[in-house]
This record gives sequence, structure tokens and C-alpha cells, in this order.
Amino acid sequence: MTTETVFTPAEAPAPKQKSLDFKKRFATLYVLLRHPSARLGFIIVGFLILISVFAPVIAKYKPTEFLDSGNLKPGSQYWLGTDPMGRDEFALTVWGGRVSLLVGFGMAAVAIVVATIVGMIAGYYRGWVDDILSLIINLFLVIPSMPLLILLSAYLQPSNSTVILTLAFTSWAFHARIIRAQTMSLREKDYVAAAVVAGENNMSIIFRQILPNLINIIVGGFIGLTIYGIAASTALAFLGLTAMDQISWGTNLFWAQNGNSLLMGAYWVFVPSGFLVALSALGLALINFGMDEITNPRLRAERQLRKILKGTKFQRVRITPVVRRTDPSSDNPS
Amino acid sequence: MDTMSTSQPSEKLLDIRDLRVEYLTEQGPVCAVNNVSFSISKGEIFGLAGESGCGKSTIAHAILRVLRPPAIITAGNVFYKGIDVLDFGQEQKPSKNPDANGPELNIESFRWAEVSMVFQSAMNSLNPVMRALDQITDVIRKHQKIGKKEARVRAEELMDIVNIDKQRLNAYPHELSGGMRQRMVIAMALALKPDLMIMDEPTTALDVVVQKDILQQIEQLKEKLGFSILFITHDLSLMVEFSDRIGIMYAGELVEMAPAKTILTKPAHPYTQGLLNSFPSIRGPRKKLTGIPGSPPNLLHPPKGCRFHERCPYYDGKDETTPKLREITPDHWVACNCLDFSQAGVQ
Amino acid sequence: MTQSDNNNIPMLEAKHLVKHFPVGTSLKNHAVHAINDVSLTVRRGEVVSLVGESGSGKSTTARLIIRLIQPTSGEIFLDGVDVLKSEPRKASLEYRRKVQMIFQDPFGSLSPNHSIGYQLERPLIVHKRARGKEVRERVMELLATVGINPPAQMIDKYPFELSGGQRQRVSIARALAVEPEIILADEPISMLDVSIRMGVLNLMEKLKEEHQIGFLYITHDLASARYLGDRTMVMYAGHVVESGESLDLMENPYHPYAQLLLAAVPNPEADLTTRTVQARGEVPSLIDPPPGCPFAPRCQQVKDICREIMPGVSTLKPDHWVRCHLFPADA
Repeated sequence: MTTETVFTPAEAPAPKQKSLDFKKRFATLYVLLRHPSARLGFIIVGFLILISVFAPVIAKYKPTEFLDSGNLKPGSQYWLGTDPMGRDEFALTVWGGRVSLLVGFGMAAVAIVVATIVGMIAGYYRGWVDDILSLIINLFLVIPSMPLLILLSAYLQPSNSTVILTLAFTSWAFHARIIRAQTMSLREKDYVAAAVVAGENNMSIIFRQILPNLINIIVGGFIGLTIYGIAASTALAFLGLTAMDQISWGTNLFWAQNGNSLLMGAYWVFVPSGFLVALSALGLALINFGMDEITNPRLRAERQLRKILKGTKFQRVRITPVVRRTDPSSDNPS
Repeated sequence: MDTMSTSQPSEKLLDIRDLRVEYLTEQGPVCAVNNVSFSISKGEIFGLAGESGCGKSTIAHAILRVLRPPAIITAGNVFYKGIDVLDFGQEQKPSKNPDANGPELNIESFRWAEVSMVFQSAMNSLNPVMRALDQITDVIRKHQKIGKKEARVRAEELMDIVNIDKQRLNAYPHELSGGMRQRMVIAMALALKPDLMIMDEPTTALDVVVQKDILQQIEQLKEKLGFSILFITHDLSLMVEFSDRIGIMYAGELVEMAPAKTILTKPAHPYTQGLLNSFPSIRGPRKKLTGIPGSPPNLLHPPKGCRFHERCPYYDGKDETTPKLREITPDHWVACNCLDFSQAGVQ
Repeated sequence: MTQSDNNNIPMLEAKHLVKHFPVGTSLKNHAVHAINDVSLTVRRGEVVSLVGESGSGKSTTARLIIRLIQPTSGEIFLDGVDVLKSEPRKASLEYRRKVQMIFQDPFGSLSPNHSIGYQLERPLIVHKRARGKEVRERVMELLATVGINPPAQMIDKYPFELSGGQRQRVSIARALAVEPEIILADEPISMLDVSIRMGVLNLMEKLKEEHQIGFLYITHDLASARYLGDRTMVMYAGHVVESGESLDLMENPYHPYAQLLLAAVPNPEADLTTRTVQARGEVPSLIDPPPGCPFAPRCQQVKDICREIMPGVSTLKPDHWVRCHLFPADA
């Protein structure tokens, strides 16, 4: 992957490609899917998205119908029993993914966009622009997010959009700082100086030279923020601070608590939703982990080394091994 | 190699024969050092020249057996004072010496006490949180059971040898200049009085004035203490000035070997000629230099036969056998099949 | 070349450039005196070699002239126009067209995320040198000019697919794209394999001849400075200490530092011990330097005045001057 290519005089003509950035981006995705951890992560997240999207098809009943008595045990009719209000727990669980995932991904998108813009501008322009933006970033980092979340949620009209906005409001600063630091280091690279010398203006440099090198951090941040978003929105819902007319994993937990399901030991009410929250976090974290290994050249090299040395006795040696071969290997013509 | 001298291994200090080093990669083994043989006598400075990727650093590491997997040694012998270094195992048992007067060694007693090395950019790899004194005494006490006071005395002796004020022993590496750090590293390499010192690009990161200063000091030390030097660099003009004999490496193979002046005045191998054609001179008329067209080969799929033939102006277009090192005049060895060396002193 | 010819050839002139970098907290006012009073001239079709060890200020000089950083004081004239007055805050597009730069690191000076064709297109588009289909054709011409063949296949390759020498040629092509008048080359070959270096230097020479481009060739290697440069200037600790026609300067260096430098360059024809190094010591710290000549602490022929006053310019031959108290200063 990193060996130098030789300029050989007669080369096979390369196939014409419309846009090679396109090909390169998909190449990364393909490599990512081959990584075992990332593949598992994609499967998990894909599964969750699918059951949420096809919830109306999978679930027998509507989650809003009050069908029977509350806290019924799981049986052949209600696969996961009923919640304290008498609704089909299975339906509630699979429908709950819609709002939870939507809020999670939505909040992550908003937060990472804001973080990227603020971080890049602060890191690139420096000077007084950086001073002000850094101050703002630090302010947001210092303010405790949970109390602020609770305060804002209590004040504002609860709805999915307000939840997304308040969560993004309290979480963008963390990644803004990382992006700012990375931008500052990228700014010193020779190819950025070369772009300045070539006459590119600042906006062009930021979007053509710096942004492409931030993609790893941005995607990694997006995934991390999604995990946070799902967990935090679940927590808010559990406290009753979101729109309670929505169905989400968090509201399921709220109604479980409210309806004394925990006291009664009616595990089927709260375990499925809680489990899916944890599962979503696991899947996303696995994707992030795979991405880290692939993009970080040092980790990648270590992985390759382990693969090469698997099965040999060279794992732990203190001096160079001597393996005398009686037959010459294929690339020695003599 | 039957074309090389068949004298007993114990006459030379270091005698490398047919060394092969391979790197295991996902795409297959890469032969980084291919059948290299040369020897170093006592008190001699042997230079190994070549560009990046030619294998000179790999050989240096292989001698001390500090290469780590995926690098493995697959063939050859490294005779040091009669003992094959490649026979050393991980265990502490010393190897028997076929020469009755020679030492018995194991890997521990061999490294640093017999052969030491100044690694590339070692001066930048000093421990930043340890004082100079501690780093030097560390080396000494790891190999010899002596007390702190004694070790300190030895460290002061070493500082004297490399012309650094003893007071600087209390300094941290960042407080010392580049030249001083490099001399400190050399002092550490001399700590156990080795008989062979390997130096891998010792002066590349230094200013040319400091470089000259340090190399002069090393040469004086060599005269005084009597060790041999394996000197590795890509700067051929520096090497000709400093070395007694030179070996030119290309893509993992030794293509020419001769005394330094011979390499300069009568280069035989086309690669050597091309290399000399890449160093402009400081004096004399301005000549047009061309370097060598093309670039070094990919060792994953090296060219068939002579690894230089694709860039060689004398390639006859047909030969596909790997050239072997032949002695064309006394002590002048060349590996080339296409040129006729029947008259001594080509070009 | 007569004096009147010189007046008609556009040139780059830097006069008395000074650059101090503030260092430390605001409580203690220290500064790194990277450049002190550097003046140089580059004419079209001429190569000036700027030689110095690390810390001498040669890279900083380049960055000042290419206007990546602002000088603390001094003037830069391009074609007779004082650019620091006419465009004080940011360099104009016109300046960026006329003055270009090649960087030292072939691996870091090309963006890893774009094909080399894209990176060569950008200057053409930004400077409106070509439009539409012409752009790609022009890029292929540039690739052929710098020896990247065949252009049609190389144009869509990414930097990681090229060797060091090829990348450096692409960098030269990028500088060439806007048809500059002056190119600053900051150690362009020091990170390349030895056998490739001459090819790149010869390319620069060819461009100088064919396009009458002026080069400022910055290096620590005296031999290549002599090979490429018509004139050579020697820098030490932020000052230019000697300047002259290359062959003459290397034959007859007047400044003690230049003599030291030339004595230290490897000379294969001599033995190591025949020419001993005259002065020990290392380059002084650039933070708040003492007055006087910066080489005074190491100079074998130092006089009292050397430690107090910086020597003025002494013109010893028509194109050869030196700054040293051993010689009488010009009036």
C-alpha cells in the first residue's frame, strides 16, 4: 500500500475515470467493509435502521393502540408483552428506533457541521478571529451539558427539532476544538503554502486543501456524536423532558418507570429498548474503531504485520531470525 | 563464493559471505540484500555507498542482528573473528570458535562490546529526560558489572576522548548542540572498546563544517584506539575522502568494490560511473553532469538478471543472468556482464 | 551585458530585509533575529545561489520574498515597483504570477488528496491562463516540459503513485504554469536520491535558458550552488557575508566563514587530514544577538572592532563584495 511505484517506460494504459476523487472515496468504503470490526458494526447499525424503517411492516399492531391490560407477559399474541398502558411492547420497541435514530443522527449532523465550520475558521485564520472563537468554544466546553440540556428542554416547547437543537448546542464544542487543532497543523503543511503561492484565496484553500484532510476526523466525530445523541436523547426522554407524544426508546423507558414496570419486575417493558440503545452504541463504536485502524497508518501497519507474522514463530524475538532456505525464492533469478 | 579469497575467516575482522536478507510482505518476500559478500580488516575504514533502498542500512542491522521481523536472514555467513554471528541463538550459550585463539561469544557479549553502531539520526533519538551522564553510564553498566563511581570515571574518560567538556555530562540532550550530541552518541558507541564500529549516515543531519570536524576526530580516534569502521552514507564524495575501501550497492546487491582512490579514478561499473556523475565538484571547470535516468527498481519485482540493466547505457539487450562479483584487477571487484574489463582501468 | 541592458530586464530586488520573530512571553521582550539586513538581486535568465547552513536565514529570506510572511522592515522591488508599498497587506495575484516557489519536501508540497492534473489545473484557472478544454491540454504540455511522460497517463495519477523525483518535477510544473519571471527554489533536491538530483538541476537550467526565468536557488550544498548558480551569496546567522560570481567566489573566498565552508566541503581528491578545519564552535543563537559581526566568536582573524560594529560592504571586484573588517568598506 505504501511502496513506491516505479516509473516504467511502457505502462498499460490506465482506464479513463470521470472523477478520481469519487473512485477514491468509494475505495475507502470498500476497504472499511472488509475490516471485520467495521463490518460487524455496519451490520448492526444496518439492522437497526432496517427494523426502524420497516416497523409498520414487522409489527402486528400499532404502537399507539391501547390493546389490552398493562404489563402482560410476553406471549404468542404480544411477542414482548404489553407496556403499563396496554400497548404492544414489540411495536413500541421497533417503532421507537425511528425517533431515537433520527434524533441521534440529526443532532450529530448539526453539531459536526457547526464544529467543522467554527473549528476550520478558528484554526485557519488565527489572530483575533481565533481568540474570539476559541473563547466561545471553551465557554461551551466548560458549561455542564446535562444541566443546560435539562434547563433548555424545560423552557422550550418540546419537539424532536428542539431536542436535536439543544443536544447539538451542548455538544458541538468538543469536536470544534479537535478540528481547530488539526486545521492549525494542516495549515503549516507545504502544500497549503504552495496553494497560497499559486494564488488561491483563503476560502478555496480551506475547502480544497484543508477540508479533504479533515474527513476522517469529521466522520469519526459524526459517529461519536451519534452515539452521544442517542444516549442523551434517551436520557432526556426518560426524565420526561422531550415531546412525550413521540415514540422512542427513551419514552418507552419513561413509561416503564412511570408504570412501575421496574418494581414489578416486568423486564420485557424496559429491557428491549435499553438493549437496542446499547446495541446502537456498540455498532457505531465498532465502525469508528474500524475506521481508526484503517486511516491511522501506524495502526494499519501493525495490523498488516500481525497478519504477515501469523503462524510463524517470529512473534517475539530478540535477535533477527535466521531461516536458511535450501531452495531460492521466486524472485531470485540466480 | 569461489571467486573470492579462500583464506581462513579468522584473518579478517569481519567476513560477510553471501548474505541474504528478506522482508516478508503481504505481496510476498522482498529480497532487500541479495548475496552480498565483503570483508573488513583490522584498522580499516570500509565504506558502503548507495542510494535509499539499496540495502546498506539493512546489512548494518543484520550484522548486529537487530533487524526485526518481518525481516529475516535467509542465507549467508557473518564471520566475526572466526565465529558466525548468524549462529547465535536467543540463549546465552556462547558459540565455540573454530580458531583456538579466538574469543567465544554469544549475542550479548558480541553486541556493543565487540561491534557497536551509531544509528542514523541517533543524535535525535537520545532520551530527552535523562542527563548525558546517566545515558552513558547506563550503557556501560548494562554490559559490565561495575559500580556507579567507576562508571562515572569511565564516562568522563569517554568525554575526553570525544573532546567534550566533562561539565556537559550534567546536561540534558536538548541543551547540547547537534555536533555535541553526535559526539556523545559516538562516545556511547565506544564505551566498551569495540573492535568494529558501524556508522550509519553519522553526519547527514549536521552542518558541513561540523561534519568535517567530527569525521576528523573519528579518524584520530581510530588511529589511537585501533578499531575498524563500517561507514555507510549516500554521499560518495565524502566517502571517498574518508574510507580506505568502498563497496557500491545497488538494489540490494554489491556491484563494485575497490580502494577509495580506484573508485574515484577508475570506476568500472556503470552505476558507479553514473553515481560519480551526480556529484558536482567544488573546483576545476564546470562540467555538465547528467546523473542517472530512471529510478531505483521496485524490489517486490526486481528486474531479471542485472538489477541495473534498465538504466544502464551499456546494456547489450540480451543478457539475463545475474552478474557475479569478479576481480578485474587486484582488489578491484565488479559485477557486470556487458562490459569488457580485459584492459585494467576502464574508462 | 551592458548597463543599459540591465535596466531593461525586469528584476527582483530585495533591499535591507529584516525579520525578527518575537519569542517568549510579553513580559520579556526577546526576538529571534532571523534576518538582518539582507539585500539581493535576481535578474531574468540568471540563477543566484543562496548558500548557508541551517539557521543562516536562507529559508526565511525565501519566505519573505515569496510573501508568505511580512518583513519587519525592508523593501522588495519587482520590476522597479516597491511592492510592499503598493500592496502592503496581501500579495496581489500579479505578484503571485510573477514570483513562484518550489519547496524542499517532494512528499509534502503536493496535496495528497488530488490528482496531479488537478493540482496543475488550479493555477491555470486561478490566474485565468486558460479555460475549458485548453486547460487540460496546457497541463499535458507542462508535464511534457518537465519530463513527466507520457502526460496522458500521468495526468490523473495521485502524488503517492509518483517517485520523489517525479513529484519535484510536478512542483516545478506547477510553478511554471503561470509563466513566472522569478522562481525561488528552497532546497529542491536535498531530499531526493543522489542519482536523480542532477536531472532536476538540469531541468531548472533548461528552463532558465529557454524561458529566461530568474532563479533564486537556496541550498546548503556549495557544490550544487556552484553548478547551477551564476552568482553565489553566502549567508551566516541572518547576514549575507559574501557575494560574487560563482566560480570566482569558490576559487577566491575572502570572508573567513566562506573560507571555512569551502575547506569543509568534502574533497575526494584529497585526504581527510590534509586540510584541517580552522575554527571550532557552532552557529550562535539568534535570540538577541550581541552587536558586531556574527562570526566574531569563531573567527581566527577577529579584531576588536568585529565585536562592536557590523562590517559594511567592501566591493573587491566588479561583481564580488564581502562584509568583513579585514577589508576597507565602500564609501
